[in-house]
Amino acid sequence: MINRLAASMILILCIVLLTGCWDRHELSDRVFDLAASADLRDDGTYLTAGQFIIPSRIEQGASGSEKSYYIETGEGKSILKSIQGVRQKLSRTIARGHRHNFYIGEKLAKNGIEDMLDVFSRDPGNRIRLDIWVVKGNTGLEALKVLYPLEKIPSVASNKIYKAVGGTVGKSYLDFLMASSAEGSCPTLPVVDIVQGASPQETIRFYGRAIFNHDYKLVGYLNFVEGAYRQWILKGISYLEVVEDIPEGDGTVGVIVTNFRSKLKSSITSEKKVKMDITLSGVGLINENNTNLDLTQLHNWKLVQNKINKSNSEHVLEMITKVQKQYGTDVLGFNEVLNRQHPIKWKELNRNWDNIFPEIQVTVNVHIKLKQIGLVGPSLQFKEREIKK
Amino acid sequence: MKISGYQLFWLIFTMEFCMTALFTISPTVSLAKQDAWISMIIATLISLLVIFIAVKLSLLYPEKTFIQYSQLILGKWLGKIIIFIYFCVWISVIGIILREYADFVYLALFSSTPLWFIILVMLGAMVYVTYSGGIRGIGRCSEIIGPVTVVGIILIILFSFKDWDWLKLLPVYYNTGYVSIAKASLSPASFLGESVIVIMLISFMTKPNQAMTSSVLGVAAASIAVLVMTFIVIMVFGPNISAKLIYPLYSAVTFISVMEFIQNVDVLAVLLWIIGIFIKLSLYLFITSYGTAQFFHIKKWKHTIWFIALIVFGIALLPRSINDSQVYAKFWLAVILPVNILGIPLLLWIIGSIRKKSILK
Repeated sequence: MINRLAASMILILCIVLLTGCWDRHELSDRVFDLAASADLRDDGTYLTAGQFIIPSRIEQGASGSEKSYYIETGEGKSILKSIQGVRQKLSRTIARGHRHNFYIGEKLAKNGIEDMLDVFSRDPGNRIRLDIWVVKGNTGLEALKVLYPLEKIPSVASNKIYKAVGGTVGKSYLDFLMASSAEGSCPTLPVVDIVQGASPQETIRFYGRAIFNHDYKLVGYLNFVEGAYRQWILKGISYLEVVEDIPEGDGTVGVIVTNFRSKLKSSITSEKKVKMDITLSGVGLINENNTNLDLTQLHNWKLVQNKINKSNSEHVLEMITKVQKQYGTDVLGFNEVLNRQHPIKWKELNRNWDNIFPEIQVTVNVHIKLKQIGLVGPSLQFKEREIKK
Repeated sequence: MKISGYQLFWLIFTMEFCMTALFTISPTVSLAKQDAWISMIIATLISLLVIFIAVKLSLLYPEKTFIQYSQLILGKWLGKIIIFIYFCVWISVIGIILREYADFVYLALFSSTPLWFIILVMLGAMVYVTYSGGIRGIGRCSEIIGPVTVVGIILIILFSFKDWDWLKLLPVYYNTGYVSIAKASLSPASFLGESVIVIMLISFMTKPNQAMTSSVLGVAAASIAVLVMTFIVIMVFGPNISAKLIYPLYSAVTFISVMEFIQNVDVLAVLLWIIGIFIKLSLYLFITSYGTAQFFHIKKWKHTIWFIALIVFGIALLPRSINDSQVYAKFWLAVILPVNILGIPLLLWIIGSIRKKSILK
């Protein structure tokens, strides 16, 4: 009996001891940062900033105009040093488990981001699922400061825009690391810029893709559509609008493309020239028809489909040529295609890849299959005699 | 104190999977790149050979433990020397695993808890289960923990599924070659080969004829699980990044995000891993203390637990940093894998079967 009493006493004591752990990470001692930024200052030091949630204002719900976050900055000769500067101003320790966005100013990106990448993967408090953004023509701090009316925490916006326009969210940091650690390829990051919105305040806009060279320095940008074409090649896209002129119908046709597929086939000629055949396919839904063509007619349908495929093939090729000739950086995954398809020859090619890549002969074939024309045949506003059957 | 074949299966599975999946994927991928899965298959074959030899050896004397029959096979003095070597290995490996466990938990969960305290809590649990239940208690624990681990593995597979990129596995073979693939298989083999401790366990089985099936299946199941984890890591991170991460599987779990709803599930993985380590450490503690008692003819074997717990606690505090415990891992690979895991059991098996035959004649 006494034994049983002692045992239950010990068990109860255990409950008291086990509820708390030694580390005591109390919620009231932590501050969550949802986004952060890094910039290069004129004297060569880093300026980092974090967007921190103010818990008391989040709890109140949508009550009034008070911001539910605030921004704090710090400076230093490395990222950690500048975070120290931020911490000097914070009453709580920083928890980064929910941080999904990190903005880099254009100046820092041009100067090279090699020295600041390591900190993201070494600290277990960081998430690898992170999107790093280059802020085109501006600083990262400005991007944090933008007020975005739709979201309570504005920095969530860039992420959600990216997702809404059909991109793959959360993988840009990992993709950057994988591209820079592989033989031959160059890394990229997504880009936002700050533009004047319709309302008096500025707003954030998803711009496209930033191209880096082997020294992790920004060399150029791809705009929204070019970036989307690149993602199409790399299978990282789910939605894209394309609008092309149809001279036969005296107007434009707009198509929404989904169900993206891409196939890259490489070959090496006897003169050691590399060729790349790219086939991109997708399913198209006609969403806009400003021509006088009646799309219920099979020959008109075929005409539009062929025209759209031809123009798109040209646009994709233009984008690839721009990457090849202007930037000379392999951001299209061609290195991996060659490694997969010609592993033995790749061993010779990869040492000289930076010289070979701009000379690759690329052919592009876009096959968008039009499946839907929407609710109307010919456009409703036309008179009967204006419609081309 | 008896265990069933079913319990032996779960004992081996839990003990093998957790450590191997966490510690060996990175060194394997850094040598064999995207062909690491081939290395894992080679390692599986090596460890199946190890367990086959170990079980065959123990079945020569199904009623006796390694401590007893090695003296029968090799004679009193040579047997004693070999047993002494095994004691050194077992005691040191308990200490090092404790330390590696504490280092990982310190990094992942408790960065302001003193290291000795993390070690002490685990040591307390080990001593408790060994003292109160012996091998039967550990076996029953593994019967519960093992299936829970399997559920964890399945969840990791399901959650990470959408991040898989099959193309990362290509090209097969051309980027590496057979030398690096073979070299890379040694590290997982040295972990999977720890199943050699069945030489101490089979004498506790109610039906020794189940020993072979249970242990081979246990090793095979654990190897397949590790193989799947290797595939996942390579398909999520690609060969170059996986090689640089210290705990790639842990990183792959932190990368999980299902519909932006199921995120930050790494605590789950750490938990699974801790209970797996608990089984492994308790097993080692049991065989060491039971073996010591048999060796010195101590009547009450449980008294030796306290003594061994004290020694391993000291060993766990010895390494100055994570680098020191990696030196031990290299020693394990270079010496213990060929000698203690493969060499001595094979030698004993050959000599033992010759002796038995000559006696029968």
